[in-house]
Amino acid sequence: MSTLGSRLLRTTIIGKDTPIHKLDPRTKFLYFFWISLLGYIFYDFVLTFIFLVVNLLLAVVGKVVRRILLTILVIIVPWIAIAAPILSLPLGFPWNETIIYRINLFGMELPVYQEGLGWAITWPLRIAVTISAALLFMLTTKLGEIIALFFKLRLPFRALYMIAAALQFIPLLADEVGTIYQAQLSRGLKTKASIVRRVFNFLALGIPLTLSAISKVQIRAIALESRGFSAPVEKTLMYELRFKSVDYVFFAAIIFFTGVLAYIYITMGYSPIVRLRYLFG
Amino acid sequence: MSGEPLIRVEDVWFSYDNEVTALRGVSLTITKGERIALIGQNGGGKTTLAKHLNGLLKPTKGRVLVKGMDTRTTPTHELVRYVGYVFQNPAHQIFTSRVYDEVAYGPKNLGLSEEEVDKRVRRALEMVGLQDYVEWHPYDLNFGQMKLLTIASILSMDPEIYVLDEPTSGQDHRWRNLVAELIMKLNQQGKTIIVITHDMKFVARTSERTILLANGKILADGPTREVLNNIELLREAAIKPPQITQLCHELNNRLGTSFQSMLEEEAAEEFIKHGINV
Repeated sequence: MSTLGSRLLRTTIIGKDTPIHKLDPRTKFLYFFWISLLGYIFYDFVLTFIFLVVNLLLAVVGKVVRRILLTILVIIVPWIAIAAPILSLPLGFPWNETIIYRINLFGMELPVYQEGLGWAITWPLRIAVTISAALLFMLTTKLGEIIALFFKLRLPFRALYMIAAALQFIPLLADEVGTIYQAQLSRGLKTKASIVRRVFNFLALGIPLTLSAISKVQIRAIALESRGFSAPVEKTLMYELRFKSVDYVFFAAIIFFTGVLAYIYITMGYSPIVRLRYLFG
Repeated sequence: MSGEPLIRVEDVWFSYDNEVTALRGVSLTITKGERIALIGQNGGGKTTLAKHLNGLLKPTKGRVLVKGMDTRTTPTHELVRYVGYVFQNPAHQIFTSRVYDEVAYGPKNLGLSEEEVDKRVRRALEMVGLQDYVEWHPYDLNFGQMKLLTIASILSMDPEIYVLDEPTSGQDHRWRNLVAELIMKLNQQGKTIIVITHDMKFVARTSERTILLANGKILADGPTREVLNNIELLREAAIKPPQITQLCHELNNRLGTSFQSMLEEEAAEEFIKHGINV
């Protein structure tokens, strides 16, 4: 597993004391939905990029920017680098229509289309906005707060426990993968091998991981039942959520910018800066 | 330590994710035919150090040479020809549906012929006493047998050096004895054995050299008898010596004797020699 992937999986929260950490999880969860939705309402890569920058600025305040930035770069840079040249050239994208530039490639003059280029840049940026907002939430919110959030959202307790257990298991399993990988390396597993060999390598990692996860889940289920998990009583949480002044400031900002962006949408449309044509409209 | 040096650990530092420093300037030499115990409190750096010996971990600073090969530049699948590492938890490596296949996985990865693989698998299973379980599903074995299976899966690769991580954890007396006998047998064949363990009685029985690690540093490195009798140092590293050694120490304090036994039979002889009624 890549170092970045394994570090991300291992990290459920980066323990810092910043204004972002102090925000109520409901506020952060609302922000995640709000900014992700905006990314999809507008079809404008400059505006979407601005949303991403806002997320990153908040990540700077929350002192988690390095990890989020690394994840975003790993996902969107290769995506744009591959998609843009393919989609913006002729035959690369079925809706290509508006020529914005001409390039000379191997002695051939080829048109660059706005539709393909816009699509190739906007979609990775939209995904980046969602991922960065989700990571901002996950990396600055304690597991207890997340559980309290879903509890407030009246999620059934069993479903709530499934989420909690999954979040607790992810870092454990990430460590487990590391150890299993090392155990198989010790038996001569070759990482540079043919595709067939790699599939077999996957079995060498996947089977012990699956069995170990099942065993862990079974042990946990027994431990929970032995402490009355299924008892027919009303469940309560030790963690109480309470809005603070910083949450109200954040809400005010969200309401203000919703108003501004609604005005922009009504007066200038879904692509106010780049003026992209909505492809299925 | 007069044999041929097999592993040189030179001023090795290691940090996990540049956050937790697990090794702080560790240096040591391991020579052919040694039986070494790596002891120390949890988080002291034992497993981290051991994982450097076959290149599973690469030093942040310093270097590890295995038979002259730098682990930073030599691929792990090359190093495992010389250093076999038996992991603590059998569930971390067992993935096939037959005991035979599990033991054959390592030698196959080494690119050996089918006949050679078969020969090695049968020899390894015989050495650990699992020759009658060839067709069994590994998960049908009991925990002790699964542990022996993981040892067999490294035995079949026939490395010169064996690193055994907690080979006695979760094992009853019978399986502990089996592992101890296996270690002595391998050592008699000229193999070098490094055992990571919290079981001091096992250390006393199987290791001639003991390395005590705490906070990523070597606190003591010497003959097992000397290290296990350094009660003050062991206390500092939160290690409890074997009960016989504790008894000897208590007697030395009260009677002014100088007993240094680590095993029951040894102690009985010493006590009788000194006229202590046992």
